[in-house]
Amino acid sequence: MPEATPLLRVEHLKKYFPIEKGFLRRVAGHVKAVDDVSFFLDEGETLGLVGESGSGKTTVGRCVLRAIEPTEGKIELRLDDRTTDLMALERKELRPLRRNAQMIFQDPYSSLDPRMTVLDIISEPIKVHRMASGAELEDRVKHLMEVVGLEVKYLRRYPHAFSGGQRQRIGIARALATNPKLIVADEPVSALDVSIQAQILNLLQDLQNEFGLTYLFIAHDLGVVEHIANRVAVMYVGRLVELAPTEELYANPRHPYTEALLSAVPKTEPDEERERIVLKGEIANPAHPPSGCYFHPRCNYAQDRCREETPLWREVSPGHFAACHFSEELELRGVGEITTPPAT
Amino acid sequence: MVQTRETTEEAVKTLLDVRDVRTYFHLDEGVLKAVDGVSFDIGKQETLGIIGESGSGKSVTAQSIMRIVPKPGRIRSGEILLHHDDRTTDLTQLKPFGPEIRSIRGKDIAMIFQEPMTSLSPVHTIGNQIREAILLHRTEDRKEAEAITLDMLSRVGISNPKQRVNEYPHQLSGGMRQRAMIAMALSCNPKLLIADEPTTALDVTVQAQILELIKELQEQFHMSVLYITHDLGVIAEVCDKVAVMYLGRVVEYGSVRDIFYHPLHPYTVRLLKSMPKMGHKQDRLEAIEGNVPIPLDPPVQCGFVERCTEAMAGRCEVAVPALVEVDKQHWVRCYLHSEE
Ligand SMILES: Nc1ncnc2c1ncn2[C@@H]1O[C@H](COP(=O)(O)OP(=O)(O)O)[C@@H](O)[C@H]1O
Ligand SMILES: Nc1ncnc2c1ncn2[C@@H]1O[C@H](COP(=O)(O)OP(=O)(O)O)[C@@H](O)[C@H]1O
Ligand code: SF4
Ligand code: SF4
Ligand SMILES: [Mg+2]
Ligand SMILES: [Mg+2]
Repeated sequence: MPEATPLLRVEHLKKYFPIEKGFLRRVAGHVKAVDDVSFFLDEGETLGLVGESGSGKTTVGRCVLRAIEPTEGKIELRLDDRTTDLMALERKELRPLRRNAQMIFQDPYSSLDPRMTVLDIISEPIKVHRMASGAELEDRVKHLMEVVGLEVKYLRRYPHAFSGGQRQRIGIARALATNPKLIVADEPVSALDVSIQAQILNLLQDLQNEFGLTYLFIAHDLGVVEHIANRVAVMYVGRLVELAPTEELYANPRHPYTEALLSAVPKTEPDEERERIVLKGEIANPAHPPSGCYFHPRCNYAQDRCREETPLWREVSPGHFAACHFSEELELRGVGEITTPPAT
Repeated sequence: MVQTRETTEEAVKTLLDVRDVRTYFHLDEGVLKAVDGVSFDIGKQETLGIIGESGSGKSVTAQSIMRIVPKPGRIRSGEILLHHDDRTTDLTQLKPFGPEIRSIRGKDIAMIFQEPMTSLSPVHTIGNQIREAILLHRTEDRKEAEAITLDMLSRVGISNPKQRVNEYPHQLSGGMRQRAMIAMALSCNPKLLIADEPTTALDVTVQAQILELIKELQEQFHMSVLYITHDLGVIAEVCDKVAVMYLGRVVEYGSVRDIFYHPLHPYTVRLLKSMPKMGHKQDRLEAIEGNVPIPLDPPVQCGFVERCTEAMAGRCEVAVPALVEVDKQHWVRCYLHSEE
């Protein structure tokens, strides 16, 4: 059987933000927020994107939707068995395609316009894409509210009357309004309380099953990502350093940065032992990245070669990609080896 | 004045006793009972964790201890006993801006926050701010203060302290600012450090560094720590004892092992189940339905009753259960576990 074409294929994506200096706003350099990132998303799957803040996760998400203009790269979206490179389209041509890909944001407080009612907020994308109007529009909004677990009687309320979890439901209903295929969820549960976070994660999973949604799920909580993602990509200073099926990545990391991230997660119970790999220093500045492997100043396994040579992004085992010179040799520890469950 | 008494025998091992504290905000809309029955004690060199979702009253509890509750908030009742070697002070009885509490703040009890700029001033260099705190509480010798400042900065892992003392907070990264704040808080050798979600906004890598740092410094300085967080993982990582808060009240209180391995209150049980645990993947999380209410003129009932699947009609919604010791040093506020 031939492999199905992925829903989304991103190739060599770059986003450089110019650094402007002085009165004439001369370009003095570039923040390489995203620097040659490639991945794909199969229909109906969830790809987790993790990494420290500033690593470029949000920028990838926004570029994929062309909410900001990428500097370079290919973004191929498959719709009705036709693949379109979004980068090859003019803004005008892009508009009808936009309804297929939507975004959910981290902050349920700032991402909703306080002057708009729930009805206005959820109907906005439907109106923009001329998908319904009048009574039909209102019915559709009511239906969406039910789908995400909001009471329809709150149709004409303003966002401030809702809790954080309910606001996030409003944001999800808005994202679903145009029947999208792909949803970029940028830290959708990071600002929520634990008990509410679980509600929203369950809702996102239910919606995925019901509507066959595909998620690019950005998060920094590795427990949350393990729970929701089929595959996980790890980002560091604008580049992917590792990508693999979730279980594989957590059990057998092939990049020292992934190993360190996993070891930094707090333990889940007091009697568990966890071996910490303490990373030196902090994430590099993407305006002045280090030479060679960007991770070398913090890496416990770094050798001379790492300072000079950029490691290649390659498939180290089927479906498992990594970019470390020594991915094949290093015996890195996964969750099972870092944590020792309590003796019972 | 009544706020100072002799320290009793049993208090020798205890540093801070918080007894049934209630702190209310009198608002136009009604009385917001932010803290409505909080009790716990912190032993010398012990770490007590307060866990609870946002709005449960964790920060107001800390503010009550520090006596920095903003207006129109007021401590309405309860005792907060700070045990010195030779005497005991009830902090609730001190004048909020009086000399006694000012000397206790900073010298005996120091606090760190999620947002370091809560305690750091943007217009003074890091070195200046730490030096001033030391000169206020610890020594009048400027040379010595300077030396302690440099020592503190290097102890909290700030590289090149000689240069950093001359920098302003905005010149440091988030993690480094957090370290500078910790250096300032610990520069006067406090007996108790109150940490109000100091790592919530940080990456796991930096969080791990800061937690490690707090543990190390606690040993070096023989401090007690009150650690406030909504993250059960952080609790598992650093605490000896835990107070679980919900809607202004401590609903369960015990050793960290009791809370994780023998939780009794339905809220604690459900909270533990709702958390995704790395390395223990489940198909579906067990969410707690509903939302945390706002305690504005709250009805006299168990605060968790609306979300509790085990609520008993005619019981849980007509009275507030008492915090009862159901096992040795394990306290629960729930009618499933006591008649009171
Ligand atoms: N509009 C912008 N202009 C300049 N730099 C930006 C802009 N947006 C993001 N950056 C920079 O790009 C890098 C990646 O940012 P971001 O994608 O937000 O990371 P993450 O979501 O992983 O925290 C950071 O260094 C950030 O400062
Ligand atoms: N300055 C204030 N004025 C009025 N209400 C407040 C104030 N500070 C806190 N509250 C209220 O008190 C309750 C407890 O808040 P807080 O202690 O900050 O919770 P936590 O730290 O657990 O998130 C909340 O309902 C909050 O809205
Ligand atoms: S290439 Fe070298 S520095 Fe980079 S992760 Fe691998 S071992 Fe570490
Ligand atoms: S007192 Fe009743 S409502 Fe409250 S937690 Fe216990 S069983 Fe549930
Ligand atoms: Mg981001
Ligand atoms: Mg708080």
